[in-house]
Amino acid sequence: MATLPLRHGCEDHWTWNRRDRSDEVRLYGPGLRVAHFHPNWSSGTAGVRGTRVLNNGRYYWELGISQRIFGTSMMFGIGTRRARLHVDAFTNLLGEDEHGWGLSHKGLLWHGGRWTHYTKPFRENEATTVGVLFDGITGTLTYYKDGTCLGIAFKGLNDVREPLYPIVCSTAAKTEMTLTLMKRDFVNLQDRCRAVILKQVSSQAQLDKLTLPPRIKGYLSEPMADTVQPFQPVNKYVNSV
Amino acid sequence: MGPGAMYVTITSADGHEFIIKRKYAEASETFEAMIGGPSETPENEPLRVDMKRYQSHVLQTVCTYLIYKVYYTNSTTEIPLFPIASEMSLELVDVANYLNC
Repeated sequence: MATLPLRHGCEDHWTWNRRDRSDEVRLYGPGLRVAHFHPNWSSGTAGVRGTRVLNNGRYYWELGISQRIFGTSMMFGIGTRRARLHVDAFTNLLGEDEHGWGLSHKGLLWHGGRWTHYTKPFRENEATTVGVLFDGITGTLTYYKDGTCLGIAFKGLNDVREPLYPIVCSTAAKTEMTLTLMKRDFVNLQDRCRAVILKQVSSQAQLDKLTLPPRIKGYLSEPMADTVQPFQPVNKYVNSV
Repeated sequence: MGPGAMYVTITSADGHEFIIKRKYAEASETFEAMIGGPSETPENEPLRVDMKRYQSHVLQTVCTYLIYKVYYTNSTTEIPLFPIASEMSLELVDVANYLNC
């Protein structure tokens, strides 16, 4: 099993915001970390925002998804305060517009009303753990499933000026997600400088022209070796799959 | 004064001196090693760190960053952006690598 991200980081403490949720999400348990969706029956999509502002930091959290995994869309990700948390329709709510970035249990990434394939659909009715790694300096969101890294899902998040929060949502009755682990890490100055430099320098050739020691050039070129495919939207304005 | 001093003086290539609290300087592992090691400074002299390889405009940003780091590492409040001018980023990555902070 792969090691957890941010293993040198420290514990973080936040929870679901009871004042920033759909009425169809009930919060339970110590610290209100259990989000229970549509307690009776479902007639739409319901979500809840976390209390942690993510910008400019590096955060990792894990969601224990209970065995009830089914329906149109159970989603995990981030969004601004403007992301809707309730709609009376079964939809991929997180990522329906530019205010959210989400992964659904069908293995699809959503943002700006567009989706793309990212990972295999989750097996229905099989409990799982979803990890989310947000890096506010490099501007990336990466997902993990049962300890396995699925790759960078979204980029460019460091350009978002509005506060970003963790969000989960679900269309399915009596489904449950529990915040089980939270970590954070302080991004060092070197990594911050690298993020600024890589905005101006996009090729190895340009990097080689800089007057810097070889050791530092090597460090700067590490992210360039990233072979994860950039996010390619497949279908425009498709709102449900 | 001396090894138990609360402040550290950092000298730059162009003759500037930056005086910051020891606890902020120690946010850099390299500074911590330089300060904490066997001190050759006499008892009644302030702690000094020689950074004469680097220009003052870069060291000024480093000092600001060290305070930012100490303040926000143990805080769970919202973290503001630490702005880094792209014109300074090349010199700053070199210092940051050296200082490990």
